[in-house]
Amino acid sequence: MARDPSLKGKTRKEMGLEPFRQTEIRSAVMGIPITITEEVIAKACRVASTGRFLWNVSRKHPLLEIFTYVVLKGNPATKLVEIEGHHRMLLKFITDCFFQKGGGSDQPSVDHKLVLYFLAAYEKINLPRYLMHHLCWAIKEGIRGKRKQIPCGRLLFEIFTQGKLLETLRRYRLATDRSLKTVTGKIINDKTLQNMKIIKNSLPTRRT
Amino acid sequence: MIKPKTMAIPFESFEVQVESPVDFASLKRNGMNLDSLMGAQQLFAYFNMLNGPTYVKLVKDSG
Repeated sequence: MARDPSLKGKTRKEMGLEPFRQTEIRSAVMGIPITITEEVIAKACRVASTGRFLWNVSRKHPLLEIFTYVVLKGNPATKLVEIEGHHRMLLKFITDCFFQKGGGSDQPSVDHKLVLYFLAAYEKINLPRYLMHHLCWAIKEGIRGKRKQIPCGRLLFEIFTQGKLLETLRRYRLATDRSLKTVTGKIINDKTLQNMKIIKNSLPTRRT
Repeated sequence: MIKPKTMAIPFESFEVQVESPVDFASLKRNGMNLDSLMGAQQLFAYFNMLNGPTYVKLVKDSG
């Protein structure tokens, strides 16, 4: 716009840009363009983008009172390590499987507390929309120089594979498992329960 | 008009975070049955997806 004043007042389409439909994250892997939208995430997660979604909620949101009632057993002073085992596990999923943040185990945000409430109350959350927001948040933090971690590595990789990207790379021998550095996250299992002190000793693994 | 923004962080210092896969069977055997809670979220397919490998370099390249 600044470079060409004749474009002023024209729509994005007239300027030769793609029309703005929704929030998108654009990216390119080795020159192959990739667009990430909520729908793309939903497809990669195999989860419908329906259900509860609240963002930027105020600290006085009425649902937070219900959160205190359901998760904190009515006492706002309850610490999150003292809550019920199942709920602690759900919180672990929130911090380790959905929305990873920068190192250290910081307090969940008000928004994430509501996610914990929805999970605990059997109310389906709109995971794709939450993940989209989380990615946008991480990018914004990155631009501000506050963060250097890229969250949702597994999900992003899934998106790239669904775009047949990997097939193409393999076909032209541009990529092998080794050159791409395969990793898996830390598995949450009986040992995690032990570490979180939810159980004392884990049962020995049965041989099948 | 959207101003193009670039990140001031050097490429090498980026760190890809990978989601933790969950072994629900192991949790269940140890008294942590999350079937009904997770069933309500229809998230088993999502957790299945987390079990797959992640190619860190590829994710980083796109960052």
